[in-house]
Amino acid sequence: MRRANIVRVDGFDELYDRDIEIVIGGGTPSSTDLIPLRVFVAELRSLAATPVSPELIDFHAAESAASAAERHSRIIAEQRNGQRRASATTIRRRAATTVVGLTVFLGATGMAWAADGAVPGDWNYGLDRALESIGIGAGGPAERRAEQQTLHVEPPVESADGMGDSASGPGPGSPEGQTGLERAPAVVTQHTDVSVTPRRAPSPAPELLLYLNTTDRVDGAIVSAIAKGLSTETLDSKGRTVDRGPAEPPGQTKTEPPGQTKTDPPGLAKTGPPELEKKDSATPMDPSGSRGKGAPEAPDTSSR
Amino acid sequence: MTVGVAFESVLDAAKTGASWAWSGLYREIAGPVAGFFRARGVADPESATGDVFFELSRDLETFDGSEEAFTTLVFDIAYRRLLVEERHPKRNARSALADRVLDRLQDEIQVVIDDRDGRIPSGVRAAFETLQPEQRDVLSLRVVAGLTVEQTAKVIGTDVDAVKSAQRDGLTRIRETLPPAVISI
Repeated sequence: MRRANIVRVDGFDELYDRDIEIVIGGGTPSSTDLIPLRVFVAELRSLAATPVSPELIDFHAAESAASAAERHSRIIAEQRNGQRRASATTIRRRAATTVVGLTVFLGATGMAWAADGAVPGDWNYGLDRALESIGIGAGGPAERRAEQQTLHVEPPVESADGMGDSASGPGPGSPEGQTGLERAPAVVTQHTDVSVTPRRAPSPAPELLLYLNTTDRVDGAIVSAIAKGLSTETLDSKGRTVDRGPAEPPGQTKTEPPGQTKTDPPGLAKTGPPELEKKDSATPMDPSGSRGKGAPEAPDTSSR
Repeated sequence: MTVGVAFESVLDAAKTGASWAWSGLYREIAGPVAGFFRARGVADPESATGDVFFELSRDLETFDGSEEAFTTLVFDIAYRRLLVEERHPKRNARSALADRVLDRLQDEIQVVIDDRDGRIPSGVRAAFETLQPEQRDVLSLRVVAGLTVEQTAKVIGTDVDAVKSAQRDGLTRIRETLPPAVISI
C-alpha cells in the first residue's frame, strides 16, 4: 500500500526511513533499488568484525583496570576525607553556636541580675527600670522604698571624702589631712571677715607721725613723705599681703608694678599725704580715721 | 555489545579495577570501536581504541546505567577522540610504555588492518569518502558501531531528525555513486 506513494527521484525510488532501517539492520529491502545499499552496508559493517590481538586486549584491559582502581581508591579517600571534614565542620559549628548562645545568655542574665540592685544614680539604673517595665525583676513600690533606704544609709559622698583626703597631702585619712580640712573653714573665715583686721596690734606709726608733726625739728614735707609711705604700706598690707610679716620699707612698696594694684583707686596714694597734712594741722592723726577716708576701703574690696 | 544480564556485576567490578571485567568489556566493544575508527580513516585505530578505554576508566566511576547507555558512553568518548584526531592528527596522548608496546604490536595490527582494507572494494570506500563529514559520522555510528538513531543523536550532539536526514541523504548519494560492479554484487 505504501508502495503506491513511492516517488522516483533521479531514476531511483525515494528513500524512506523504514527502508533505511531495514538496510542498516541487514535485512532485505523490498525494492530492487536498495540492493546496492545493502551491499555497501554489509561491507562497511565488516570493519567492526576485525579481530583484535589478544595481547593488545590484555594490555589495554590491564591499563584501564589500573587506572580505574587508582581512581576508585582516590574517590573513596576523598569521600572519607569529605565526611571527616564535614563532621569536623559540623562539630565546630555546633560548638561555636553553643558558646555564643551561652555567652549571650549569661551576659544578659548577669546584666539583668546586676541591674536589679541598682539605685538612682547608678549607670545601670536605666536598665533596671527598663527590665521592670517588661516585667523582669519588677519589685514595685517595695523596691522603690528599698532604693530610697539604700540612698539614705549610704549617701553618695564617698567620692567627696576621697577628694578631700587626696588634697590634704600626706595621704588619705591621715590626721594631718583631717586637721587641715577642719581648719580650712576657720582660716577662710578669718581672712574674709573685716572684723579681724582691727584686732591687729596697734601700730606706733600714728604716734610717730603725731610727734614729728608737732615738733619743729622735722620739715613738714618730710613728715608728709613718711606719712605717704606708711599709708601705702598699710594699703598694701591689707590688700595683698595678709601674712607677710614685718612691714617692707616704703621705698620697696613704691617700686611694685602698677598692675598688681590695679584695683586700687588711682588717686588713693596721692590723696593720702595731703589729707594727713590737712589733718595734721586740724586734729591729731588717728590711724583708724586715715583708713576710713579711703585707704582701707579699696584693699578690702580687692581682697574679697 | 551483548554482555547481557551480567552487565551490572561486570560494570561494578570494572569500577573497582578488576582486570577480568575490563578484559570482558574490551573484547565485547573493542571491535566496533576500532571499526568505527577504521571507517573514519584514523591512522592507528587500535591505539585510538586503547585511548578510548583509558578515558573510559576515568569516567566509569560516576557512570550508572544500562548496557545500552554504556555503549553510548563508549562511542561518545570515541567520537570525541575522533574529533581530536582530525584536529591534531599527530597527537599521541599515550605514555612511553604504551608506545613501546604498541610499536611491538604494530606489525601484527597493521597486517590485520591491511587484510580488512583489502576486502573492501575500492568502489565502496570511494563512495563513502564522497559523503559529507556529518553523513560519514552518522553512517559509521549506525552501521559499524550499531547504534540506534537516538544513540547516534546523543553521541553527535544533535537531534533525531538531523540524524535521519543525514543518513537518508548519505545513502541516497551512495546509491547514486556506487559503481556498477558493486551493484552487480
